[in-house]
Amino acid sequence: MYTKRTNDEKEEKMKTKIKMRFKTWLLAALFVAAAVIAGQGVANAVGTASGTSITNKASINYQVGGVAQTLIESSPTGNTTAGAGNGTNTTFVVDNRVNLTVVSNNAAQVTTYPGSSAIALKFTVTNTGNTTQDFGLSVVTGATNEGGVWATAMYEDTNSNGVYDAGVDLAITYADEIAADGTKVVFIVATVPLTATNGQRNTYALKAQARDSGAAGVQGAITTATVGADTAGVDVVLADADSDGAAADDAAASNGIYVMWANGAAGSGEPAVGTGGYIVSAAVLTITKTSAVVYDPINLAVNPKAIPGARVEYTITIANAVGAATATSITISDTPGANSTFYVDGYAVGKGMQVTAPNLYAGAATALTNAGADDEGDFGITTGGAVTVSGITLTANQSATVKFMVTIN
Amino acid sequence: MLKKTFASIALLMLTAGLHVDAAWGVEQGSIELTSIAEVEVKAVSPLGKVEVKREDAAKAKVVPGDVVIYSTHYRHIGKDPAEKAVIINPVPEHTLYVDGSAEGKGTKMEFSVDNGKKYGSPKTLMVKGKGGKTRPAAPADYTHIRWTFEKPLKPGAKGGVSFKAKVK
Repeated sequence: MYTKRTNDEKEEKMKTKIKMRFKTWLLAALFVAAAVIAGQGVANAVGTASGTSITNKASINYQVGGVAQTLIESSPTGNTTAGAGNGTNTTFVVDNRVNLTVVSNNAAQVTTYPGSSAIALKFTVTNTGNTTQDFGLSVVTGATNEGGVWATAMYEDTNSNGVYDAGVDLAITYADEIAADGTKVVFIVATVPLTATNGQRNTYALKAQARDSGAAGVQGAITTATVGADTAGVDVVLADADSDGAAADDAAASNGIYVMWANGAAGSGEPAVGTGGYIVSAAVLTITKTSAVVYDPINLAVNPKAIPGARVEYTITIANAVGAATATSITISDTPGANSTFYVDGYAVGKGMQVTAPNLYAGAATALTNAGADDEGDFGITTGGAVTVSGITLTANQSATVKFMVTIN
Repeated sequence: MLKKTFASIALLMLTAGLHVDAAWGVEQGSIELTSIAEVEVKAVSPLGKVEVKREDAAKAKVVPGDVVIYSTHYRHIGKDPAEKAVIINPVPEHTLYVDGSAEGKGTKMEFSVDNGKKYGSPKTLMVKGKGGKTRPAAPADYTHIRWTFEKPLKPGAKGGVSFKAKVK
């Protein structure tokens, strides 16, 4: 709410960037829809479950002197005993290849708004290993955090609709018991401070780290690779150290960690500034108030002077800048100054104010009643002694005016 | 030359029979057959060179996507040539045959797509695809590999055949 009082008869221009109570058009739905299409990832085939034994037994048939001999089966160390069933399988156990991917399901930049805590960055974590895993989750803050680092939280898609629903989707810190080839949608939701300004950018990444599955509802310990030689049991091989989804270059130092930036760039290196994450779309409202003497008891409407009994018309203009977010529910409130009295019949009988707004009355200048509830304007009802006009919406590069008159005492 | 051959065949038949008789309930064959599964492991030498070593699959970490080399080694321990020797090795469950990987010196290599009922060269093999239509078989369809030795294996002969399979 913004209130400006003045009695000054000279033209007064006040250009103030104001924070006005407004809601924003939630373009979120649109952005998320685009994101789903843009960020589709292809999960790798998972493969044979860890712990599976793979067995093999060869056999040889031959003849001696033209007479078929009993077949001989193989063994790992060499078998000469003829007959089916006398060989031994050559066996090994499939080990646990721990692997995961995180896919970004976001548009290049996700638009958010000052004060918003409902716009999410969406990611999909996939277990591309061959064993059920937990995945520890954390938010990585990029170096790009214009206007300061915002508070963030992570949520799962509790109602499985692919869209973040505040109050429905539950907060999480790890993905629990993700089966081989299973996926988990994770939202990073930032709380944008009201002080954020139009065009500010904050980048974030989701980091997922393989953890042992353990019990349901309990986050397991960080999964570590089996050091040294293969053991008889299931060994752990951590894949994809550099989060690039390719295994070829991970032989050196695999770590079971996957970092994915909101713009789809994998790895610990932050992508170029301004290519992903959040961008603030704020309304940039400017309010201007002018006054003019429109009538005095002596000169009437011709060159009227500001003498007692004269009528002064105030014009309050509110404008939203080019490229700014749409501001809705704009309310303008002004109290006539001392030594002046609100003129109740300024624009018609019982209609002491006039509004011209793109979203009201097809943009035509329209007189509003002094009474409350019947239209967007009132005098002294919403706020005692003040003119109030509400319900104005301004998209980028639009403006609205409110006019009212006072009589100089 | 001819005479010698005849003589050896006569001897063969004799000794072959002896083998069977000599067994105490266990029939001792003339060939020792060993099957080993290995994986290639990359290791960096102290000089910084990347060396590829083969390691026993049972003693290596094998995960889906890894290629396992199956080698079947034969050693003729009998006294008589083994004729028409045929080694058969199934492609293990949970693995897929790697195209073109079968090796076997002096053998004719054939493949089966029906669990060893019929064998043929890759071009002749057909499988039933979706909707019951037959299509040429792909390497992933192979269930068994058969190596038929072109010449008899002489006593003391040893060698091996091999193929590669990728863990699914």
